[in-house]
Amino acid sequence: MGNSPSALPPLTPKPNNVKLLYFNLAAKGEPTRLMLSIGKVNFEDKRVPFEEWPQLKSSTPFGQLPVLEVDGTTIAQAGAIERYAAKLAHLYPSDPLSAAKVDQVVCFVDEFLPLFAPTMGITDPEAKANAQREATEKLKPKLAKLNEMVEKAGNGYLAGSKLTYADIAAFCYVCFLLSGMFAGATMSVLDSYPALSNYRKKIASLPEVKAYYEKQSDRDTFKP
Amino acid sequence: MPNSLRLLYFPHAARGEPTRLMFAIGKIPFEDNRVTSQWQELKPSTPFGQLPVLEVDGTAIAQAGAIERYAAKLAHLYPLDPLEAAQVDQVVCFIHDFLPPFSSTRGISDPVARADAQREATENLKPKLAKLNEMVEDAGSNYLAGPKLTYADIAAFCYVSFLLSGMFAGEL
Repeated sequence: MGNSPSALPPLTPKPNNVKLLYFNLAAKGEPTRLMLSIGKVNFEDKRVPFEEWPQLKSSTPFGQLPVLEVDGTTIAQAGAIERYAAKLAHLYPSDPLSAAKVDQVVCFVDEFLPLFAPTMGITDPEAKANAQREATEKLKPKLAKLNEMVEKAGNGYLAGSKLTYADIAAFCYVCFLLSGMFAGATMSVLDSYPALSNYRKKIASLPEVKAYYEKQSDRDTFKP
Repeated sequence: MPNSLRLLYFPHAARGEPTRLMFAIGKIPFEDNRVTSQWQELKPSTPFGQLPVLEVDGTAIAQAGAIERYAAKLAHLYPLDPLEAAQVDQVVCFIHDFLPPFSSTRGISDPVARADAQREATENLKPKLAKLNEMVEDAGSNYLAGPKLTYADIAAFCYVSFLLSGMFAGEL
């Protein structure tokens, strides 16, 4: 009677064939890439060029990327894919209450990217830059909140005493949004949030994270 | 199983209902605390200044998605197998997209502008309902994420029923 209702069944085998399809961008693909890498799960990291997307779109479950193909089963929706990858990588607790603490952080950081997504479709460069600067201003109170969450986290991890999906999501989304891709959103924004800035460096310096990013290009903000 | 569960949310369905329903299905006793006038006082003590919040033996969990998934696990409505769970999660992610265009209309003070915004949100909901309809058709005799009732079905049922309850201007 001791097992919690959601303990991973023993001996969950690693899947044989895993293929992630996403654009050549960090955004919603990165937490999955990093977690599969941390979990030493072999996967094909397919980067779909934008020109190929219109052809591929109708074959995806929701007309969106990312999509994860696992031994013939297709999973869509970034959140679902990430949580699956987190479980494979042992970055998601089996205890429901501990998992809820991870999920609540993830729900919160999931609010960050949508601030910027509407700016992607703006064609006029000046209007786009203005919209992105405005999005950066809206991001700041959320970064302030995340900074406070880091300060309150006794162990230095956002949900519990170890690295979890919560840390990977926060790290990836912050590093991506402040990568300089969006007007006004650069790493200097973190100067106002010292605890968060140190936390980013700490996660980036973890051996498994550092090793992954040593092999990636266009991920300067993900490096220590 | 925790000793005490207390859900704090407003009286309406919205983001509290899937949790309420899953606890009921799982026959899990909980205090269904419907917050009204006490909200302004209560707000600063909540983790993100929002409801719902679920107090589990004194620990506060915030964020509707986190609370729902926790309730689903207690009620045996969330698979143990990670790949099966992912199939539930993908439906839930899709359904969770339904609410925000409506919740953002609540902040519009002018009633005419608010009704217009809600009508627009209703129009934008239609293709999502069409997609959900297709998912139900594709499921055949199964539920939305496999052969048994799961969190996916509860989320879909609750959010659709709430959005079409007549609370928001718009014809469907």
